Amino acid sequence: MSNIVTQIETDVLVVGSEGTGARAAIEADNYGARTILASKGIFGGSGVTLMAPYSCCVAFGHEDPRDNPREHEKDTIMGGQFLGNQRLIRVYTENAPQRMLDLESYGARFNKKEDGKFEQVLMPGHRFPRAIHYKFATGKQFRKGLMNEVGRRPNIKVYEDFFVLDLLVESGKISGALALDLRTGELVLVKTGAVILATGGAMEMFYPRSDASCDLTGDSHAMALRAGAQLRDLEFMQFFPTGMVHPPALNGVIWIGQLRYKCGGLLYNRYGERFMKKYDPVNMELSTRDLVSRAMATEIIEGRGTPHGGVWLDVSYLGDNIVEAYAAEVFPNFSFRGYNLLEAGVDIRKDAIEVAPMAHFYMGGITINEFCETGIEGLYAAGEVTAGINGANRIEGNALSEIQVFGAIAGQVAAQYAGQQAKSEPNREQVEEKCAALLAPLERNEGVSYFGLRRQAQEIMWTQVGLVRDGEKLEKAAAALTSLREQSSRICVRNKTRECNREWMEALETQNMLLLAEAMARSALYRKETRGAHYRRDYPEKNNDQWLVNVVATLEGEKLNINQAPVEFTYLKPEEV
Amino acid sequence: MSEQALAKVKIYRYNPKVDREPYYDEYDGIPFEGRTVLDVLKYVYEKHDTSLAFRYSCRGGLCNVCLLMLNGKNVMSCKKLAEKEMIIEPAKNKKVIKDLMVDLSEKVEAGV
Repeated sequence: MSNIVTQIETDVLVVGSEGTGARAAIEADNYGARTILASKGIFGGSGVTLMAPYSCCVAFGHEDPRDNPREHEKDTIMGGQFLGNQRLIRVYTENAPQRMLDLESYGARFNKKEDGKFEQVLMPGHRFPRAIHYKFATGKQFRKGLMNEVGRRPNIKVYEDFFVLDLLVESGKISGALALDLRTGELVLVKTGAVILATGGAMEMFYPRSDASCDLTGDSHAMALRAGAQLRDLEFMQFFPTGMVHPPALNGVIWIGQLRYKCGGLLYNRYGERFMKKYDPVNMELSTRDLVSRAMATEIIEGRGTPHGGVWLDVSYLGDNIVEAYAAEVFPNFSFRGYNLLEAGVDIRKDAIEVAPMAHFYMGGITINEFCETGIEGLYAAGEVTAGINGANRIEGNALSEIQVFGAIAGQVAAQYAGQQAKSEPNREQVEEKCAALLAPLERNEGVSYFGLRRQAQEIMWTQVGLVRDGEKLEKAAAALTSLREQSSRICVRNKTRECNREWMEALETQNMLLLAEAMARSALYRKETRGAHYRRDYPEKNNDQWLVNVVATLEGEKLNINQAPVEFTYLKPEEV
Repeated sequence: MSEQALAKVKIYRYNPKVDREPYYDEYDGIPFEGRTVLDVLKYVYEKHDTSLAFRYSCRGGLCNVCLLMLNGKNVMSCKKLAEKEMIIEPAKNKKVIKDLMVDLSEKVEAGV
């Protein structure tokens, strides 16, 4: 008997429903494609777009007329330490202004000046003020505009609680995808000519040291690898320095970080030592984000952390009235977004708090060209799930504008491709084989629980593949992750009910996460230098002679292959700056 | 060190496909201090019953996906601090898909 109960047909399947995916669906619709916009959770309530507080960088030049896309291009290339794909970066910076005007026309609002021009703010890493924003809730405006616009288009079908799990490839061409309808527990065959992967980063690999949503488990990265696509720059994960780790109710709260850089907050290890003096004796706590993160992680990993795995951040040495006055200004009543420090038992006037760096943005991802093509016909990717714009490090404000540019390109190219192609029929044998693998954890009566595998992987990622790396640890981490991945083929799900089975969903997510985690560890092991977000204690210097290359990952059978690809310096060479 | 206080939790369960009517599961001895209602649900899910259906996403008080009813009031479970005695039910005026998982897009008239 077939495991497929439902079949649906479309021209373009967009996987991931938020900033990138919704924009892709709108553009696919503009080009006449029947489009499915699929969300593992809820449209408008998944992923991280919504969570973006502030900056969206675009070279309008409203604040400083000297600014233009070429200047933005240069900052982005240099911020990424020359590992970015310069062709992609040019497409990005040139298209960003128009895409933001599109978004405005959908109903998103931005802070404007009296003359109607955008308010643009200078952000670190940029030489001109170019961050547009709406108060401190810019991501919410993205959601509002995109949801409005998708809602106006009856040919975009939104599928929620719809977990796309695997791609079907027939002679190098996409023929469809398999999904789990989480509400019914049925496997669904989506026959489609084109798929756009738009599911964002994979910060859940580092949970609980992540400030992102729980959805980002690397599903598309893993699907792409299994389908034969290439991933790159996986060694580069950006961390935000100071997120709370205790009490659990406040885990991941990062706005508290401003106590460090705006309110004279001091950092201590468990021995009461202001450890920054070992890392940056001049600037101490006011050192750069990456140095502070690295120092904190070193203290924690080497056993000098606080009881809950952080370091102390302290403003209690200031008078209560100073702290109260600061709080009243930026988080009245010690409360922000509904999280009240005092109610949760934290009084920063008296006590230090425990903080650690939080995984925040993934620079690495699926390799694409300027048409969002992945090398597999009919398979496209856009947004944070891809690599290429941000190289070894993302500069602030580039994420929100990037997703609008490449979401739109992917939507157009996929729709045009799907319109020209005769659909290839999914191979039934392949479908049944993949379905059997997806159902196996549910049908197995004994095996391992996913909880342990997931937690062990997250711990390995934080302690050995996080901010402070060395060859020996990475070797061990990669081997351990290979073993966890092998074990994940024997996961048994205890809950056998088909409907709304969270355990089954998380088991399948864990399989995806383990594949990507191993690819990340092996990429970090491969790059024997320090650059951007990648710090190797055993290779503490940047090495332009050898390592101006991209590290690339592919999957062959069950084996991950890690290699390198040259960077093309299409517009700017390292020696020119 | 003082002994950790533990909570008593009553959770609404209902799978419309199987159950004739909703029922409640009760759990005692659940750690709750410094935790959110969502933390408690994750604890129950992992330690007691993986068939519990509930939703969450951003864990940051923004997305509204973890909406549910705590002791008679709608709250976002990712930011609502847990209490010593809790009755956790699906969000008011939403159609139940299973347990605490509701159709967020669909509003049901009060009383249904």
